[in-house]
Amino acid sequence: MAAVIQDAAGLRAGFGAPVLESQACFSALMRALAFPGRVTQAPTLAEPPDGWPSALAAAALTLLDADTPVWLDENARSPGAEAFLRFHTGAPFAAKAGAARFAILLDPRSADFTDFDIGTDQYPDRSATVLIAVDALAGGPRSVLEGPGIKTSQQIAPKGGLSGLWEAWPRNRALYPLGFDAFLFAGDGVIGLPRSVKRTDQRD
Amino acid sequence: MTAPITAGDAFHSIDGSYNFAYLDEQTKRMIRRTLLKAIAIPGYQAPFGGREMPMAYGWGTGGIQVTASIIGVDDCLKVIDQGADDTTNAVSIRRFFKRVAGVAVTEATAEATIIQTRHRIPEAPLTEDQIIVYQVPQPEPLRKLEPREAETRKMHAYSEYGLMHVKLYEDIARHGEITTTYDYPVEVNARHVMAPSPIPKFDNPKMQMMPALQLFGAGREKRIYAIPPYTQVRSLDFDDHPFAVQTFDTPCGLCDATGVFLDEVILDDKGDHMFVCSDSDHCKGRRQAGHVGPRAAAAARLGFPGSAGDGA
Repeated sequence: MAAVIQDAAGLRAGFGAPVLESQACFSALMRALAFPGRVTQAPTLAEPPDGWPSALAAAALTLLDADTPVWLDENARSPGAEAFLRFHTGAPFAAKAGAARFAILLDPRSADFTDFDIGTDQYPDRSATVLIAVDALAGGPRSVLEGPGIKTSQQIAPKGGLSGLWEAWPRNRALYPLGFDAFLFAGDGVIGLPRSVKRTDQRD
Repeated sequence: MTAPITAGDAFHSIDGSYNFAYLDEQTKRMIRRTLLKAIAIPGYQAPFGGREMPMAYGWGTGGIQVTASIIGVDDCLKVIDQGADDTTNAVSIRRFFKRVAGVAVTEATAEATIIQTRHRIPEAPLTEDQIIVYQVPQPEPLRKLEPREAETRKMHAYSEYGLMHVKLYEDIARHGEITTTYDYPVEVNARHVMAPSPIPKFDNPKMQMMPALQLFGAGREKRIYAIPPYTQVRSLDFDDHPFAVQTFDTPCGLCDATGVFLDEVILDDKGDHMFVCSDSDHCKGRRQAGHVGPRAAAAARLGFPGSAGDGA
């Protein structure tokens, strides 16, 4: 308890208007997932934890609570970030990636995407949602997405160490309807990647 | 753990007695998480912790919880019941959200950002900027064939949909055609068989590759499911008995529309009747544009609501 009180001095603020801003943030997340690959804008958080894109921190405030064990990768883990989540969401920290309902990755390069919960055959919704920070949502290697939510095909080019995610994606998709879902965040922007989406490298 | 309403919030509910959009924040978060998973697995019924709502089951408690969890201050809400904006269920739900969320409401399909519906899809094509929320009485398409939830869960898990095809086949064997005319089962994203809620099968083709996000809430059964925009939705059928929608011999009696879903209305106690658009906003728009149906004069004489003879 003492540690929490000590940290409180440096505790970062959450939403100024939590009810309306979490609705706006959810709306951005829902649209991102309904239209995979399209960039949506989350409300700006004035001071997210160090190294966290504002939209990722906003998504955590919007989706996490005491019912959702969360796992942080090495880079996301810091006393400041943990205090932020503990104070604003009350989410318990999962010791292992596989036990988490939400995973927060600041460095997708180091992640093993086979670790995440894929749900069960009768309840495929009981699976992990992976929140990933990237350097930018454009300007990286180009991918083409197809599937539900996409009329014909959708091009995306997020930048920042996603080769591991792309390598794991065909397996994740082959598990359908099981599998994890992912969101990519940079600044205020969000891209949604539901498990139902097929991804290929863009060839020119 | 509920996020408190701070002084920074623009407003709570319009009368200050409830949280914005009635539900508490923890409930909204739970429903929102369920909605995201439902969108990621089109047609799959995700369980959720359905709450008691201030109305009876069967009056749209599932749809209302979904709408309450997605609605924002800038949204414009339309509510229809069997296509009509002016029936009891539609009026009371619209009034509910006006009171607890202070949002704009409309009867015009094109103006709405969220359309909550009981048993119809509007005639006007929906756009990417709209979300349609269906009220669902029975989310399980297999329930009448297999009463045990433990079994239907497995049937969905293993794509074991033979029983549904047997049911449709028996219809053909007995009656020469598939006799299901509403809540006609669909296959979503080539994987899950789903109940489209009791919309007439006339509306089923509108779900295929619809640009709008479709959300389904079943309050009593506590299930949420979804169809993302631009998703394959196929009505189940057989090669030699292809799916076909209802057709009508007469146009709408009030606005002369053809190719729309019509309701039968009794006009007197001698058996006179007419068919009118089930979608009241569509019918109104056509009448305002100058279309006159074959029964418009008779309807006006009787003071039929919405006709020229209507005192309102």
